[in-house]
Amino acid sequence: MHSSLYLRTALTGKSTFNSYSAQYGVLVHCIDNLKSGYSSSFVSAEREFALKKNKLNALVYYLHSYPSSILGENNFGFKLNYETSHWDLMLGNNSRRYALRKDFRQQLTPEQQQDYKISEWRNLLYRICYRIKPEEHLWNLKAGVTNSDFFHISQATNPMLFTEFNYLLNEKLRLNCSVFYKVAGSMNLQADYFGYFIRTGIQWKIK
Amino acid sequence: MENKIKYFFVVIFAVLLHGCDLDFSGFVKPHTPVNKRFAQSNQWNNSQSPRIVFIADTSYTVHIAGDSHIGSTNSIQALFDSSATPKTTALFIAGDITTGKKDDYDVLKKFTDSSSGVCYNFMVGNHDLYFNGWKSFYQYYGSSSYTLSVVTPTFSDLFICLDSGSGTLGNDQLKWLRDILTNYRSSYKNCFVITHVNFFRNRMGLTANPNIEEIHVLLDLFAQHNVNYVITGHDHYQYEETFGETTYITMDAIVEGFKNPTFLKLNISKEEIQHAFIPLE
Repeated sequence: MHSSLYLRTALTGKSTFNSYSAQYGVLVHCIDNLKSGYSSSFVSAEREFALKKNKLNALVYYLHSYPSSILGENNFGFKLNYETSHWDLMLGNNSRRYALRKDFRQQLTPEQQQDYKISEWRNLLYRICYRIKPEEHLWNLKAGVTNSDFFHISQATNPMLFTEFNYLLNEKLRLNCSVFYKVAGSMNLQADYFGYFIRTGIQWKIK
Repeated sequence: MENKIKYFFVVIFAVLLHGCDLDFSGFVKPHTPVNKRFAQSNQWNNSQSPRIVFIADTSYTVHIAGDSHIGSTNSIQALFDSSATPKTTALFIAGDITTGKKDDYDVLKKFTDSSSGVCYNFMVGNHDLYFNGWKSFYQYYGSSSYTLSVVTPTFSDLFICLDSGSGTLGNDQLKWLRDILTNYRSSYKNCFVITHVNFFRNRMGLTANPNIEEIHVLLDLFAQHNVNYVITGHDHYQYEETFGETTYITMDAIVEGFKNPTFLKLNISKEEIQHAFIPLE
């Protein structure tokens, strides 16, 4: 939980060849209470299928992160993404493994060193998003609910509300700005404000 | 296709609204936010003597249970009966003690007033907060965020009880927890954290855990400060994991009608801590 401002910067890329694509990215802490430097990186492989007039994407991914100086985390899973002109729906499964990092483990007894990881195998991933214009439009406004973003995967029962605005500057450049709002405990019917984060960036299409 | 998607969500929403002992207003916002509850708990702590239990023996037993969801008092009666022994130093109930309704708090209050010989310690769960239940909890039992020290002739242990009824500790309670672990942990041999909401998801279910950012902070904090046990309820099914030096336990529910109700028994001595799930009879 961050009780103050944090700032992270990311670089992501996506290479496409026919119906196949690979995506990759790295996230670095700039201002953060808990840590500095490298935060997370991910890689994913994706295939696009045509389903009637719409797109269906099947994707597998791996996300590595260091949430703190003594914790590591690995996430991997798959997603199915179905898009119509206005709806963007995603369903998948994430497996998460928390681990104590090697430097910290060395301070423990040999017996305690055996218990350095905890796995959560089944976690539903979802996104339900509505965009007011078709995807290729000059500008667009989306809103929806999800439990994952590029470098962030919440538990299934901790949804985030989000809205995104994007604007096509020219045929190569698109501006994006998203706001994600998080509460705690809404699925326990006892919701409390938790926080929000803003993600902004620019997409550059290279042919 | 798009109409079908809309109908799907309407049906889901209608199913969710069909509840009985649930307070759906809490889906949007709490009656009393966690920071306000913590401020009241802290105020109550400051007006009372610290919770310290001195024992003459060099080993002792603690009982911990969760999710009694009163209504009826049969389960909690059995729990209190099991705990009313000279060897049992304290009993903790880690939330969801009631349904949150005033009538159920009145039943609980009447029960605890008529019980003797048990050092009981309560903290709230999400159900206890339904129907503005915090008002009754605070009126009858005061704080939901506090520490209890057990002092034996040869060592002392620290029990930290936290309010996670909203699925988050909130900034103020987290700061308090960090201060305790940083400044006082080293004065005790063992440290136990007891709270309602469980941390890990070993199965798919509809109950919410703390947000992943908060889990990261707490795992880090508990590992850095050698917390021995983190004991929770909420999920109703027992589960345990060890992460470095810390054992994370989720307890069974003891609510009446639950198939295998158990409570957790900790036997603590200077040499070791043993835990066992004891069937509630």
